[in-house]
Amino acid sequence: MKILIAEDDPLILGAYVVLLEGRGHAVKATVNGNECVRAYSQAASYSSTGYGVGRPFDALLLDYMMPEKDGMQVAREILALNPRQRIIFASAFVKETLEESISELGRVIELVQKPFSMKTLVNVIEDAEIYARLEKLNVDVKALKEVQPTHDQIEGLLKGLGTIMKVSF
Amino acid sequence: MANETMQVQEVEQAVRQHGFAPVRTRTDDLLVLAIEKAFEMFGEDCSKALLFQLCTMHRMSHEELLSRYDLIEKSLRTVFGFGSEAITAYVRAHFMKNLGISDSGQPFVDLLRQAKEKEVAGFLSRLPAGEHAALIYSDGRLAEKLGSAFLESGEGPKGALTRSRDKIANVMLYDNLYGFDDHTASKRMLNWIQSVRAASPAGAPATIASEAGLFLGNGLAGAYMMFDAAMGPRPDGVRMLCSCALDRLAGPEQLEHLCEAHSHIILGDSLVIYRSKPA
Repeated sequence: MKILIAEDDPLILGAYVVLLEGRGHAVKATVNGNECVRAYSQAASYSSTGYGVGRPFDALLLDYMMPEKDGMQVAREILALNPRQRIIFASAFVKETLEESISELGRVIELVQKPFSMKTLVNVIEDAEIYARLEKLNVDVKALKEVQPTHDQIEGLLKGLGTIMKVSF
Repeated sequence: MANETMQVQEVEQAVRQHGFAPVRTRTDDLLVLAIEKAFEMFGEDCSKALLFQLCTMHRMSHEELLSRYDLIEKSLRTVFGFGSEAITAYVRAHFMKNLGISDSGQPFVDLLRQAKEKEVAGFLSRLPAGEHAALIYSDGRLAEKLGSAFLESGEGPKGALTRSRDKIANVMLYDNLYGFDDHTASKRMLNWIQSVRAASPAGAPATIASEAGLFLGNGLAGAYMMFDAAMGPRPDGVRMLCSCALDRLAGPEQLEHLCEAHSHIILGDSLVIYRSKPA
């Protein structure tokens, strides 16, 4: 996956990069909101055709609290460029982050609650839970991953299959 | 006069009602294989339930539905939302792999259309003697391309029933027929066909292309229909393609005539080749 991270703490940022690159992801690290928006805009203008259409990054991991431009402002600007961009907030303030995401962005965003283990972060980014549920439905996850589906695509598949098979998740 | 109410779907339905059946092409087969492969990804139970749901949505049999990728794509979006994109990406990847071509990133509908266009052109290039095909089209450029592919094939003499003298030396011009009564104009066309055939070396079949829509829509409908009926669906020593723009078709009567006089009807909009069923 191509992942863009905005985190103002260099130690935490470094840990994210080492972990995610170690799992084979391509990571672009930025240290503040402005740099993150610039990196996104630049990548968006180069985004290729095919599976990657309009997908400069598969996921954005944003620190909720950052100086200059916070995670919510970054999310608003990036969603204006690409309304389907997957954004994951890293935040210690679950209630506030969720409420603000609804009022500011008009939708519920994904969130990992700080402090979190690296395993939790990997599971969220790699959609471990959704794939596990798909596997329970006997979906050939390996074959599905061939087309590098996005988070909203596999979420849609799970929801649709759940309806067809009358399974609730 | 052109009948503006004649729609592609009506033509397709009428052609089927006249006993024509679609010819399954390699593109169709590869697409069905790719769709089946994508559904297999969901495991047996989910795949069966999904297919059942899609067939129910469109009131179609399994086989019918699998031949309509447009409907499958639409209904997958209804069921899975964005999730449908993962399925269609899978179908696309396997289709391209089976076809043996690399993915240029074009929209899939365009890729399918190109593949089908190539197949129709190939079909016309290989049209054997004694076959009389009609192309009903909306896109004039497609008709030109397919007409050229047809006229470039075949080893016998070539001729065209057309408006103006172009690359083909042997032509019967519209202006040379207009003003004659139906019987005379029809006779002139048939005599001209005989003269083209007579020029054939060693009995190679003559390749005849006709701008049927020009005659049907400009005061020579009666004469052309007489001529076309005399040629019949299996013309002796001739391979023939009649092209007619959809907006030149003056309703179901002319369409019925086309069905009776031709062995194949090709619908340019869907690029489906229909073959008449044996009597």
